[in-house]
Amino acid sequence: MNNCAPFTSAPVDVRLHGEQLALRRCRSPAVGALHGLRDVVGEFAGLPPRSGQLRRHEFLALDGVDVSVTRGESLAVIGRNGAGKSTLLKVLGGLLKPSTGRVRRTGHVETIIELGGGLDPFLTARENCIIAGKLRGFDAVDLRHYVADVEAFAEIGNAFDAPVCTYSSGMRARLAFGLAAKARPDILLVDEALAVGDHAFQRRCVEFINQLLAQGGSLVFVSHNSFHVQTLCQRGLVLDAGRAHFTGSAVDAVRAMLDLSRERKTETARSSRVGALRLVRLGKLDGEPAATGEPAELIVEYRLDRDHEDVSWGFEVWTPDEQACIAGAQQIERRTLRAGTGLLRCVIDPLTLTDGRYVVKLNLSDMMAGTSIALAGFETAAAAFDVRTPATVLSNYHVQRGQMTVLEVDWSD
Amino acid sequence: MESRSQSRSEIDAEAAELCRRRFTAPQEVIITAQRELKDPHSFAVRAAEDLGRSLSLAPTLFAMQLRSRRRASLLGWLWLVLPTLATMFIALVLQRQSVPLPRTQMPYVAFATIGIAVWQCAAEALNMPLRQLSAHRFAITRLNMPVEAPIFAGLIEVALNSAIRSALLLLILLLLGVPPAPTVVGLPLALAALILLAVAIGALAAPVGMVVEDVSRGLAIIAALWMIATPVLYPVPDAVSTWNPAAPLVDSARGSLTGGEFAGTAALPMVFVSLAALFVSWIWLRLARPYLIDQVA
Repeated sequence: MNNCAPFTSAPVDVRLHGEQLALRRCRSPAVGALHGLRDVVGEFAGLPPRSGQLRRHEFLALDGVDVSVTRGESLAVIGRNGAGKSTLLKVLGGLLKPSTGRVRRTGHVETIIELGGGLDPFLTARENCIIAGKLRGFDAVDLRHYVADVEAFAEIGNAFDAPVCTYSSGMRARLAFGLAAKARPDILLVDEALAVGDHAFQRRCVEFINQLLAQGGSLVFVSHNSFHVQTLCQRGLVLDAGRAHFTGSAVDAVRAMLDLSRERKTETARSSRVGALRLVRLGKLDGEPAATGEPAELIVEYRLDRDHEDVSWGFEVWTPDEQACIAGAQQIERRTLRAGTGLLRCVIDPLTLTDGRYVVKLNLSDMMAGTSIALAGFETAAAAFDVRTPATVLSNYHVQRGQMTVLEVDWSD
Repeated sequence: MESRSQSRSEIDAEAAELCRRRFTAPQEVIITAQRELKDPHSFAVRAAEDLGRSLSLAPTLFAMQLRSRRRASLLGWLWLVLPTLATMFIALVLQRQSVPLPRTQMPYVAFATIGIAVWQCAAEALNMPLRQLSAHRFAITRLNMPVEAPIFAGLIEVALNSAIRSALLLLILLLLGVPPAPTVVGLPLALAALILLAVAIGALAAPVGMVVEDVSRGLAIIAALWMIATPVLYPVPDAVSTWNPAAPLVDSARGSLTGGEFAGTAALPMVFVSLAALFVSWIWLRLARPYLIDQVA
């Protein structure tokens, strides 16, 4: 897997450099096994390599990603689930062979993925430690130090000589992190390792990472925890659908990630709607603009792609800057609406809004699922309407005081 | 308390030295998409390195596996001898009930007991590569454990189990009044040829078996069909045994124990054939690793 070839594009100080990394994966394990079998037979038989085209169920888990980490530097790799973060880590760690591109690294690498996954539950921590040390090629002296270091790091006392199946998840996490950390890596690749374990464990890990960086080690850190990303890492790489979306400082990367999440949330919310709502009008019954204290009529047009049972609908009146919701009304009796377009109408009698401009937000929801079928004014600009009230002492007082609704009350002495 | 802190500081000092050594002698690694066999020399060098690592790791892995299994099992070693003892018991019952049994050159109880014990070794060896790679799946896919290490550890275990079964067989034969012949020295050769052949076949199937479970089911059927075509519980016709490389090996093992033909004549050439098959399976396993085992990563 590790091929020696001239590689000159990376700066001298770079400890880990990935260039145009791409990786094809298969969504179906069975089909993937068949593809793999064909590839191995092809290689065994000396057939020419296959074309770069994706085969059935294949997708690009990584697509032309460049990564570079220098001595003493830490890089955060962030992104949504399925963005390719863990895959990138595995390629950098040499656990997966890239489909195109190459990785050059200098020094001993340790990869921390799925904390505790590789421990034999029926062996003690000490015995697991011995296997881990032997796997890393330690001789007898190195192995002795390694076991002592891991024991000190894990801080699990006498349990170090008890089978791992008797451990809590936190104890397993301590042990697993210690196994990788105390192998004294030059490059540490960490995938969500700090998500498990208690506060003390997280502090210990952070202390260790800071110590590693201070001693000239390098870190590639995959996490969903933006606090850890910003405090532990200098640089950040945002991955989106296998591609590099943003590269820069860790702080800027977190902001880019938040922006991306917001965009995607809106897109997902929009794409999940199966209908539309539109305010036709909100005004007096005779078609004139609404007025305080008089009956008003709200007419909404809806369009649905299919029939919906158990639906509820309503509206909210907001200030024009959409900072404050003033009032609202919701129809919560379960109704059925047929596919196609139609009108929803209600009368507000009397309208208690004072003179001014307002916006209205509309909703149509599935009461059983608790999800929105259609929205208007929440993700897009809300429709505005005016309330016109003849000038009187009282109406001027409402406007002057910034009162947006009036209450009908009976005063008594 | 003082001696404890002193030993801790010593450890720290040595650890710092270890750390310094590692930092000052970094090793450069380049990983590309290039095919493994495009550069046969590098492929051979890496294979030899992994082989060395695996040979040093395998004994530890084997010892730990034994401990782990012992803690997870109540009957432990008894599982090694139970099938052989059960076969002997059933054959004895059948013989006493005057059930028509196949005609064999030795008492049928001895024939069947030896056959089952020898076949158990082959079946264990056939399933061993897939079982071992699956058991160490995490270390292979996450910690870069060479695929050879668990296979070697498994081979040690198969060899030890086979030795225990052989010792039991000798004891049973004595009890049955069939004293082992001097040709018994050829038994390890016949067993080695059979085990290596089964491991070679198992290793061919193992990489695919890690991804799809059809392989483990298929292996179970193949093992059953193979046993039917092998002189385990009854002699098989020459037409069948000619095409079954395991048949002469089982016969050789039986012959070694009971004073038949010396195992070397049939088993020695098969040892070389099995080693050649194992070599091909090894190359296959190494080539398959990035394509198939990584599917489960």
